Amino acid sequence: MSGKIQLLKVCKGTFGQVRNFHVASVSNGPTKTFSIYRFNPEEPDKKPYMQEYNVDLSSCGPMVLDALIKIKNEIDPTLTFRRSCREGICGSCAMNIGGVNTLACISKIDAGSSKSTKIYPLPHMYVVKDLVPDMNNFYNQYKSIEPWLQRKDDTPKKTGERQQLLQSIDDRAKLDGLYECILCACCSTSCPSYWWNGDKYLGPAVLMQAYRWIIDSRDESTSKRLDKMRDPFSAYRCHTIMNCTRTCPKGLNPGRAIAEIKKLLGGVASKEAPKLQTDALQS
Amino acid sequence: MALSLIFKNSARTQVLSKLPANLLKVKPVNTRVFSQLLNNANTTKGSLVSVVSKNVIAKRVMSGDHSKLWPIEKGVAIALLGVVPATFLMPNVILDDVFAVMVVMHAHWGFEACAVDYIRPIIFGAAIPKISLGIIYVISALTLGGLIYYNHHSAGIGKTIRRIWELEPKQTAKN
Repeated sequence: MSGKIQLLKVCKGTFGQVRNFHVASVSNGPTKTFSIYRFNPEEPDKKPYMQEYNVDLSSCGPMVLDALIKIKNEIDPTLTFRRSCREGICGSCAMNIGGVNTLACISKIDAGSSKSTKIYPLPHMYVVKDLVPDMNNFYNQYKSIEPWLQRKDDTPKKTGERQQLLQSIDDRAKLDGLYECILCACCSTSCPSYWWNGDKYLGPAVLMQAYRWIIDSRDESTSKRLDKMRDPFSAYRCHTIMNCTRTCPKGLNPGRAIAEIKKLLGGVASKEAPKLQTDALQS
Repeated sequence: MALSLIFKNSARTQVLSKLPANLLKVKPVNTRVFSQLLNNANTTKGSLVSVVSKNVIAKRVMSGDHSKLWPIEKGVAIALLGVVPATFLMPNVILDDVFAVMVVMHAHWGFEACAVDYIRPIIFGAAIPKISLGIIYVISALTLGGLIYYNHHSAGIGKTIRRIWELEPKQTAKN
């Protein structure tokens, strides 16, 4: 047994080399060219450039993320991108693929076209490296809307134990289409208003999350949340361009959420009273 | 199992062999020309988003309340759908004046939004955005003044538009 292991250790590299040799010689299947944005912060004087990679589709998964991982594993280990869940629930691999902001893990490789697929980082974001954008501003804006449930009275009740808050089925249904957001920033970075005024305009993703807390029947700081957005920039830089809704990889509608915020701000609509007394179990 | 391990390792050794030499060296990064936010991440953090502290409503460094103007903007836009055809169908001084005021307001808000969106202090400095906004106010005021003057001292907007669309202009009929 130990002899076999010894042999394996010796031959470890050889097996790999043999396999790679075969893979390289056999790959006559369909290939796809990916033209990928490259920028290396270690070489700050070098301008960003596009680098082309040919990927053998017969030994590659169906999604763009599979191709990126294959490129990183087999062609160029310096290629940098974020990825985690590979199933469209974490939002890490948001990037601009073929001119559309989407998640690499749930966008299919366009095998039908002979043209190369261009992959850029999310538009108008500062680039850390290659396809990795700087998300600090985006996360700080998200933080600024205080994305958590706020109650006027937060002290524990009923023998010190916190009881659940009640919410009717109808009230809960209002959160559908809002809570599913994974904060991938595809929508915000597709919004021209966010490109030009990203420092002061909150952007569709953050505004939709703001609305998610504003209309939550259990949340009690609705007016406080709204008052923070009355200035001309936070919400009103939205000009209903609707790129956000068009690009959302989760099929959500941030444009509608912003419109609802504007209605609430303008006094055209108002938040309904909760259908169930939310703190009925608390007293 | 052993085979899969070998294949796994083969990919890894291959990666190592293709690593460029300079990647293994850890260099201190001093300047980042194309990635500016990283350098001043701490300073931007303070100015972009106001710090949220306990029980204090964080006011952003922005003035004005746009929430009262927004319903008026939309109201004017909707009202124009009726006012514009009405002015052409039954031209009179009152409708002409209402038309002039509402169209100028509507256009003014549109241009104002363009100026605020595109002529930004971050690109043009502090002065030019304010000057351009001022120019828009001047243009809007002059337009409104001119249109109202035209309504009261000449044919008026409604009648003028009607004349443009007449099949047989009266002037040529006279000639």
